[in-house]
Amino acid sequence: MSGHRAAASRARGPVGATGSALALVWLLAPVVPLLLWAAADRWQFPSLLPQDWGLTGWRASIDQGVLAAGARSTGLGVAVAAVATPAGALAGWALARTGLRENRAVSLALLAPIALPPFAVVTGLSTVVLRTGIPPAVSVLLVLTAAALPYTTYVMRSAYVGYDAGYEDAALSLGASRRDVLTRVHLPLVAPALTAAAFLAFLVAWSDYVVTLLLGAGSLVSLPLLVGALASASGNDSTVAAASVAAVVPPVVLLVVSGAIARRTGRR
Amino acid sequence: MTPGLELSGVAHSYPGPGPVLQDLDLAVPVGGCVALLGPSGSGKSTVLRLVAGLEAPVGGRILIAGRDVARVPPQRRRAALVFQQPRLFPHLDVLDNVAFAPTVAGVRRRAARELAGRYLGLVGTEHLAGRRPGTLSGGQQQRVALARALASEPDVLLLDEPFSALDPSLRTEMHELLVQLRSVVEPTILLVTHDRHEAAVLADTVAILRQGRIVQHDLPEVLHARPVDLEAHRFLGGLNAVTGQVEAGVHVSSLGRLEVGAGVPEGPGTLVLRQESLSLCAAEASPTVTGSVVGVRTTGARAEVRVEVGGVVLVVETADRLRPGDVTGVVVPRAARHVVASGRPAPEQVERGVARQPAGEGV
Repeated sequence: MSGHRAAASRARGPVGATGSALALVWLLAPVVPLLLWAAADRWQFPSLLPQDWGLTGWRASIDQGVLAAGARSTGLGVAVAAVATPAGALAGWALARTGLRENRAVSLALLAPIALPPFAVVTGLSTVVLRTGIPPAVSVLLVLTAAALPYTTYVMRSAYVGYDAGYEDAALSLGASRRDVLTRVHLPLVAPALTAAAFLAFLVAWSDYVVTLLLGAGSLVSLPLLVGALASASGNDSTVAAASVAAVVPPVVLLVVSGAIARRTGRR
Repeated sequence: MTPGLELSGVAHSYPGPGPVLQDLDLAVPVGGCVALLGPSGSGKSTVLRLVAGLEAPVGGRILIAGRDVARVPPQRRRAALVFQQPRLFPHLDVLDNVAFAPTVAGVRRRAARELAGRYLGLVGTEHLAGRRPGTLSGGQQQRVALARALASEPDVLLLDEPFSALDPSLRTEMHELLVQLRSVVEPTILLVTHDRHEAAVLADTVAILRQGRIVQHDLPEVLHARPVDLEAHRFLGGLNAVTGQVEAGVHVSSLGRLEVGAGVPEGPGTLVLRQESLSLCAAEASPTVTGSVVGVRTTGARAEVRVEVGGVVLVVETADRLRPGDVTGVVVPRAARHVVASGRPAPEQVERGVARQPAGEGV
């Protein structure tokens, strides 16, 4: 396994290896001070590392409600993924089976939520939501699902473009009912794509700030909202850092887990 | 006896120009194997999809084991399909792939796996039970695909060019396997192929499908020796066709006067001769005709020798080594002579070809 990787990096050559290393540094560098701050009880300029290590920041952030906010964010992420993934799968399936012309129009419509500036749209929407009396949590869920749909749809469309329906024909001819075909053949075959789509949908909701702030009208304090509030109010760097780490770690864990699932089920 | 599979008057068309299948009649005896032979685009695979229920015919009847399956969904037709691509489920190991059919039929997991193990043994792949399909070679995958189809204990096994993606030596191996399987489990098989050798090796009888119609259905040797028309002769690899006139049971052409039998209709007719049925001999040894060699094409152990006789070139497949310019005699056995209509086949001839199904072949 590691031999393969070593061979691959050798094959890419020194330029490729340097590029990969730089990309890794680019991604990880901002997290390093965050991790240090989260474990620092005292860290004063000009010291390069904290003078006192400890968990004061964590205790303070838990007191400030990081766990409850994390639970709310998780709930929101799961809810958005639960709606946007099957919807995206259906849309992706349909798109993979239609001609290019119709496809282009639908693609444009799908991309709209990404193309439009969220702040402007959400500000307008918040007025509508207030007037129609839709509960804030529901409106947040609806708007975030709309925002997640382009991602889930595109992931599932690519999966369905390469999907071989012959597997289902084979299963039918072997006596599998439509339901068996779905649960024993179709879903396992697209499981890696479904996992990726669900992960993206979860991320859209997990990392959202603007929609939850404006449409949630303060009733839905998610983790990003709490981090934002802590950062602007307390000024306590280690508390903010601990809350930030709490917001960064779950998606990374999810990524690793979903990657493992994809590898396990996607082996051919 | 009720045929294992019977198609009568089956017609099908896709959106677009022209019907795919028209008025197709075909019967496969129980435990028999019929090959549907045709060029690509002739509608062969469509026939299998219609039998499997993956497409609905626009007309005609399909009976599997005597049962009209018009309203039977694919999963209840007991017609298992094996494709050119093995299409083993990548998320299941080999054993669970073969156990798929018994599992969805409600057999308990352990019993289903035991059954699967037996079918894996039948195709000689029991040692692969725990492997993932992606780690198998093409030949191994197709063996497992056969075992998976057989494990569904189908009334009819539909093979859609199952070996055409394999290299020649592997293909021969799979042909032997299928012949052996037929002697053990006796499935009713409808095989689709474009390879006449494969059809002849595997099937009891071969039906030629052309432009959505069966033009001839007979024993492979009859098909080769007595093709229904010139196109069938060419499609089956026949290289010799001599135009001429039939007069009182004698074919008159540049080759001379060759007796062909009293039953052959008078008038223009093309004499078709299999290159394998002709042989060479010394010009003094009273051959049927005499000519000179104009070309030799080696096909391995044997060669195709082109002999010009009175302005006509005859191709003779032989092990004799001759060189261009040699004078040689050609023996055209009486039994090798067959006359077909010149140009397009007459309709009644097509009808005769269809009617000449090998009824009561003692299956």
